[in-house]
Amino acid sequence: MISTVGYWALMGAHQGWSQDRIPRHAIDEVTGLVHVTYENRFLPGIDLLFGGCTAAVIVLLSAFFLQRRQKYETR
Amino acid sequence: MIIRLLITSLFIVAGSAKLTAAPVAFDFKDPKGVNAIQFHLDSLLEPISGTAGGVAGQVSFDPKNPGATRGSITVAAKSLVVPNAMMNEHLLSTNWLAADSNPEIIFQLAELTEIRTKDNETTAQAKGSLTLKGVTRPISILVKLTHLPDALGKRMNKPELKGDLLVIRGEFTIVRADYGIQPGKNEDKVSPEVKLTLGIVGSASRS
Repeated sequence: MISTVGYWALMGAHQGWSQDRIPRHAIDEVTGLVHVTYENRFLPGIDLLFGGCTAAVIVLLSAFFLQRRQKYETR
Repeated sequence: MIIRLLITSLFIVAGSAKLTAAPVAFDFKDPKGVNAIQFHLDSLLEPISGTAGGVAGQVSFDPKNPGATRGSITVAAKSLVVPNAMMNEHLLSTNWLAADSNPEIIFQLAELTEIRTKDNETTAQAKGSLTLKGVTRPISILVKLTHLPDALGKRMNKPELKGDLLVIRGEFTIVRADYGIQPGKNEDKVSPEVKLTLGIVGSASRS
């Protein structure tokens, strides 16, 4: 969970959906038209943060219940 | 008498030249890849913004007679791009744009009305039809046409190239349900209205 939150924060703490390509704007000199190109780079978003934290909670709960079950079985 | 006749003849010739000036065909398949239509719609988490770069088409334009402008612009449906790959897949899928079975989005211009020209800029209402996901509906878009004579060579960094440019700008909104795109569905998650921003340039070479 710490890794997920840390990775998300380090990569810019983007609060929207994850992006696989980042839009970049440039201006065409002669016409003045705004031109969008895409940089192929991953930007983690809320969906990755939520997914990572959910997976961490599931693992944590699984570990907790497994431990309890093992303790119960050894008695 | 002779001078009067000469002046009258000159006026007739000048008038005839104006009447016979032909519209020039501008090709909107941009070799620089700048042509794109940007789309924007609100959604639950954040607005969805993307571009459609596969623009092509021809528009005939006469700067002396903008009312005679005719033509069509097509956009390849598969050229629509949003930053999230999974969202992009959904966008092009059968449930949304059905890009496989409807590969082209077409704007067919019927006429320009409410024309106002100042220097090399013309604003007008472009009336025509828009075909999206196989559905064709009439549409009217406020556009600004900027004619740039002899600018082709400069834009292409090839001074030897002679030709003109025609830049078309406009903004309009469509209702996705009108084109059979998830009508009445997911309106709480994805806005029913899509805002489109047009910024394209056509070239007419004079070789």
